Amino acid sequence: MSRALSFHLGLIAVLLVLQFVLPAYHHGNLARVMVLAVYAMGYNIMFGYTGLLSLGHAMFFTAGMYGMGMSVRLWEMPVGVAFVLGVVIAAVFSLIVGLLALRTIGVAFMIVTLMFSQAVFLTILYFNPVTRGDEGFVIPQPVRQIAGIDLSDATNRYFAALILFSVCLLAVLALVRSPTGRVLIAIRENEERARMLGYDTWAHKLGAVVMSGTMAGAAGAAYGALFGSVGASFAEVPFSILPLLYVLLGGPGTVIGPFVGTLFMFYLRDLSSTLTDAHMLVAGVVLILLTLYARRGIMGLIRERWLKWLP
Amino acid sequence: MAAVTLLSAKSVSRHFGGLKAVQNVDFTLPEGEIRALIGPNGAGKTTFVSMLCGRIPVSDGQITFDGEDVTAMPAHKRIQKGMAYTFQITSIFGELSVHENVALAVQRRLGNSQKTLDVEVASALARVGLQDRAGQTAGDLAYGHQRLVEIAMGLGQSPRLLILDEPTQGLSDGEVAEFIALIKDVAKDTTILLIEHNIDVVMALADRITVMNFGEIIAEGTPQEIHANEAVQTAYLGG
Repeated sequence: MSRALSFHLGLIAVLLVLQFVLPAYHHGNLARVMVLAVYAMGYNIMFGYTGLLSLGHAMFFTAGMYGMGMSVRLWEMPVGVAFVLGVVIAAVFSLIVGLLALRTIGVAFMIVTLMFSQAVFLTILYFNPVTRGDEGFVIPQPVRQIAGIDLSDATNRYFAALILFSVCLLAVLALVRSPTGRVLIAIRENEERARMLGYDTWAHKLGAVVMSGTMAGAAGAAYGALFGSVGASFAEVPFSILPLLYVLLGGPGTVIGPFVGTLFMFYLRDLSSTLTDAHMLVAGVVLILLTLYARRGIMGLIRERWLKWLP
Repeated sequence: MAAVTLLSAKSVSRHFGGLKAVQNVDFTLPEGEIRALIGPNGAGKTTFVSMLCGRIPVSDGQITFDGEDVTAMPAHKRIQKGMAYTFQITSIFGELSVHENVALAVQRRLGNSQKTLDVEVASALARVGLQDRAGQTAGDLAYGHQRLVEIAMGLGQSPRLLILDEPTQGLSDGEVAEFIALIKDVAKDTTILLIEHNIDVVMALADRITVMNFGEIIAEGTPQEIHANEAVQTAYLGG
């Protein structure tokens, strides 16, 4: 087994052990962090590995979340089936967005993704009678179960989050160490050169958007299923910026970085809000410090200094 | 050897606004040849080969590679058909290791076998003398070594046609001598189109030379013929 694989399996093992030792409050937090980290890992495929900066990833998260939530609400599907449907909807949606948005590059690409995401947000508000608009709706506790396992129970919820997180973590690890992953990194570094080595860079970028959007959608669907809330606030601009922050903090282009960034940001906010009402000020200062002294994020810095083999 | 035409261009032109960078160029490259493309700065050499390999579209004309009209074919498809292009301005993946750079060139034709990949990468690096630097970050290498990575990426593709855009720029005299030996070896099974300013390299390598000036071909012939050609003298020395 390679060092990289052992390292990531080690992280999963630690998270598994923490399930039994963490106090209830942190236990609940960590389950949430793992789901949000899946969102950030999806974001990282596009931003960290392929160099595509999206400002509208909330649309993919919401596609999964509403795909799952509406299936339960309107057609009373079991949550397990609805989750799969949510992921499929996010995949199809990201394919469509990719086909359109990848006609642009650079700043235009950022703007186009931002606009598409706003369109999704406004669509949710517009169809208020069906979607319940910005009020959102709750997936009631009795239906939040898969094969008789109650997802609202803290332990089950933690396990479900851990399974999703582990699958996505290992999938990203496999992707970035594969020949395809190498081409994505090549596109990030120098797209023209990658093209002149015979790679269809457009098709690779489209693949990255679909993988990224699908993973973000899986996080959205899981969030709704595990925590019970579905709402338009998840489609708003700040929720598109969050995964960018998580990834920048944790280390773009590292497999574990999105998780580290999510955990860091979550607890930074949590701890600073016990000290002051101006907790976003603390977050801001830390962000500036990291940008000044650790441009490649926490895991990027660790890779640069100590763990050069880290994928 | 029967001269089979590998690459040809028929009245190819490229205009940038009012500027005619390349106009009405007819060009034929037989398989197995080492052809040098020379000319003063701004003669249109890089623009011309960029059209051959698809980096920029033609304004007019037709390009044929291996009997197939590739004029409208995107660059990556032409590369897949067996062209390789090494950049004039070093264009490697600076953040990646030397090994990864060459692996990117090699892996496209190998599929998923990690073992063959490593062997082929090592062999391409050994041919340019960089076998000891495989683990280094490409961007940290000295300029001359980065040029060699660029060439190793060309070799790694095992192309039928290797287009080298000023490959010896920035190399030391010793490295230039090694480069000449390397290209002689590569040319045994690869057709080579070489843009080059170093006239010693051109004379040592080229079977034939094409001379461009002001976007047009002004002469073509063996090194001896070009050496004696009056139009070429004028183009280089002014007159």
